[in-house]
Amino acid sequence: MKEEELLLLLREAVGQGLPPGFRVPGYRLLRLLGKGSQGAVFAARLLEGGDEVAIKILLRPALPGSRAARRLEREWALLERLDHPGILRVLGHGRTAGGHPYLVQELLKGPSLDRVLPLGRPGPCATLDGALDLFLALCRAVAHAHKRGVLHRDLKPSNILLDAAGRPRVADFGVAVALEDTEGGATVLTRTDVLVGSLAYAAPEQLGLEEGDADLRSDIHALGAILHEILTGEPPLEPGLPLARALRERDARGFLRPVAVHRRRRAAGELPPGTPRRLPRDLDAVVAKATARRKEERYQSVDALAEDLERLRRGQPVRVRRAGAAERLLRLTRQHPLASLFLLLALAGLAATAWQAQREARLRSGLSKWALQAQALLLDDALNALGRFEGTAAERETLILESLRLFEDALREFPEDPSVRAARAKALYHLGVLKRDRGRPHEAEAAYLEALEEFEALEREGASGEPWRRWRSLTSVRLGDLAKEALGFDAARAWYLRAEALDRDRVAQDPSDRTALDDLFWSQHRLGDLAWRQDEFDVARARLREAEALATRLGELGASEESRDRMRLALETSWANLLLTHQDLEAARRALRVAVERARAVLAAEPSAPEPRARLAWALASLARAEQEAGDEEAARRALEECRSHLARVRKALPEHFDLEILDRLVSFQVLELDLRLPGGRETALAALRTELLPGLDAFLPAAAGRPAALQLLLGRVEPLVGALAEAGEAALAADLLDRLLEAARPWLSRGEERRYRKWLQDLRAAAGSDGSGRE
Amino acid sequence: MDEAARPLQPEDPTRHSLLHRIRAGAGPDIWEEFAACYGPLIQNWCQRTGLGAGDCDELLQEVFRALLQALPSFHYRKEKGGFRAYLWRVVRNQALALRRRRLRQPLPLHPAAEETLTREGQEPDAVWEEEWRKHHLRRAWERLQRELPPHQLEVFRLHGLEARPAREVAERCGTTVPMVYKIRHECMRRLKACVERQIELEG
Repeated sequence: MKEEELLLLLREAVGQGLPPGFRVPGYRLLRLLGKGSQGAVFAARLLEGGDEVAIKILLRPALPGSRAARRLEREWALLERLDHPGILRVLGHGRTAGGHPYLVQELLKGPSLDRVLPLGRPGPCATLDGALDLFLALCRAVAHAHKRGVLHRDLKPSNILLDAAGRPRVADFGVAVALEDTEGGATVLTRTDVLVGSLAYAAPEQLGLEEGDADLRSDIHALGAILHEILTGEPPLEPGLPLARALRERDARGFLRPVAVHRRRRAAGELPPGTPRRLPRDLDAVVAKATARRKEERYQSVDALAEDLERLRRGQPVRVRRAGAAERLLRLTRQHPLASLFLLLALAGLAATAWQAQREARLRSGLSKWALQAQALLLDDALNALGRFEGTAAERETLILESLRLFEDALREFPEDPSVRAARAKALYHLGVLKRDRGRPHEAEAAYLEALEEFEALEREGASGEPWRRWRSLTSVRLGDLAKEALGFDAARAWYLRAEALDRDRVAQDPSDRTALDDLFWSQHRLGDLAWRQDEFDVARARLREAEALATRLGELGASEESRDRMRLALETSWANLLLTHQDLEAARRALRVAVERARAVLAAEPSAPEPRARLAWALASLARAEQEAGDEEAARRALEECRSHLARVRKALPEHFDLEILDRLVSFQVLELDLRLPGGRETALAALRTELLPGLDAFLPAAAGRPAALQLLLGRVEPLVGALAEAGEAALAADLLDRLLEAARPWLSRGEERRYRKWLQDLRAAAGSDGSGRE
Repeated sequence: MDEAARPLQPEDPTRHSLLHRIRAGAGPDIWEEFAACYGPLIQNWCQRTGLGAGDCDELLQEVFRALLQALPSFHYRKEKGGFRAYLWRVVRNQALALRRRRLRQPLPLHPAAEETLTREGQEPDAVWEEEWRKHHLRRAWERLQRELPPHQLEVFRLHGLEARPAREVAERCGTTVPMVYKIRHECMRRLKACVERQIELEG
């Protein structure tokens, strides 16, 4: 027997490992085309001959006469009447001998959409125009079905086939209806809540995350998700993961923001050649609207979605674009009086300029552009003063966002105006800093990347007015920080090296440029710190030494004592970390004591600013740890007490600051551990643990999900406290505490680490169990 | 390619020993094993002869009942077609018996199946032969799935079973087109060798 024949036989043999009773009357099944968890698709031919057709057979039988069967019958009868060039024709339907519903469809041999994705790949998606054409044709087909009362319910790229001319043909309309009924409504996850492949495009209501049944807006959600995948090549949710994790990763990839994902991948050099460099910004708004969590907030018809895309292609603003500037300003005034006061101060200047400009415009056209520039500059000033702005983080964020929107409105009028673009890019940078501090790293990353792109463009174009290279370096450093916090050490190093190269360049141009030297110091320091984390101690030492030399040089050039103190403080802390790693406790303690003194001095120079106080709190926490490890519990306790008092003050000034939240937990762990060991301290410690620490963790940990480095730190530092609890006979409480942190940090642990913690947890639980039974 | 080049071990001499164990009067588990191994073969044949799901199930049951009685005295004789021909005879006889019992409501058999069933002589029909081969292929494939490194298995599954173009498979699996062909060829060679050995042992 020839290989090819044997292979055919094998395909048939393996394909027929399906349940019995799959015979479709009148057809001969030729070969299995595909098999999923819900059904199998066969190529088949009428017994009397003719063209090959595709037969989809559902694996779950529908009882004749049941509600499910009747509904299926009704919907599939409608299908046979659908007649649209974008929909695969349905030739018949019925039930197999075994009671499995089947659907006979045209067989199309073209590839499915998932094979021609994403944008930039040779084929129908090669250009943005082509990709949008394809997507719009898809919309028209789905709209046709909706108008005839048929929902798809399972739209996904593999369900969309392409004919020889690259036109989309939607397959499998109405197939999901059978599954919904047999699965009992919207429960479409597997038993362990693992997301299965075809659900990666499902709407929240289909996943049971939102109230309500699937309706045409569920299909609109899927269309939005498909548009996202066409543009970025990434499905919105990763199948095969637990739902919670899949959602988290989706957020990590900037779901709903294909333009941001595109930008990030371009920065990482991951875009296939031929991909357009830029995507129209409004695409983000369109995808976000189509995939809104609540169906009331989505487009209410496929036509509305298509219409917005048509507008976008014609260069007109899309309808989903946010409300106008005036309306937003009004809303802002109502919601955030403090922020808007600040903003209005800026706008007062603008109004004057604009009014003047309008008057002049009667004489000369083009002056309104100056007005816009003036507006940009004023808001830019306002943003630069953000550090002194005493609103809450939310108010600061509103201020930035509103400014950004005003800049964007201005850019619609004058798309290339460099001063507005510069102001917008800087606002994005500030937004990134804020988002990062509030524990939203992915949003921060998107903002930084967009800012970086603009800075690069402005530098390329030779725009004047700002040191673009410095902005590029600052943004790169921030991006590196984000990568480091997400444990992406290689990416972090790449960003820091980029910043370092830019700074070196600037120093080479002007060796006495203090700002450049200062920036270079900080990129060196970060590279040193990163090397330490990666156990490259020689590199770390070399980098720190170079940073030291830079600090000295800055001193010679007359840098302020204040900025030099900040550098010294950073260096001393880093050296102490290195010493701690090498278990040179004595030297580390000495270095940390010096660092604490330095931090006190920095704070004394600027007693009302929160940043120096935060640095002092961190230095004290490190010292407390070193003291305890060296066996001086008294000194550790003193350091912790001082740390706590500073922390309390600084948290009032900077609420919602993620790093401070972390520090607060670390300090609590150590204080409780020390108290537990103190004679008579046990009861207070246990009470504090139950009433404060555990509930606090429950509230905090979900927000920390995007910050793996922080979670690892917390898990590592909770170990002594867990150990102390176990020793104090509180194994159940110890297990409780460990379990929470382990659960949060688990996705980022190595298998070995996870095993070790699990084992410990098991032991604790066992100990808790035997305690309990002993007591009873 | 060292892995794929290694010859696939033949199935343990019978399912030979499966038959052997049945003859030796092993417990009920052995019948489950037997049903899992031969059930799909018999079922597929039934379906292809045109029987409905209910008739298929009834026939399958009858076949197993008959085997339960007859198998302990089965003797492997290669010249008589081995277990392949033996099992065929049992299935055929039971199909004929079922047909007799249903005189009033004739079985909806394919004309071709009708012909083979009623024909004189005891040679298995073409459908049976094909199903028998598929049965061995299934078993060899199960074995290959256990023995092949996952990467090669994936290549063969995509290229061999799903008939996806070699270029696409190479891209997806991070290998080269010649390697895809090589893996397919080696897998087929191993499957074929395994099937041949199984047939030699069992008929």
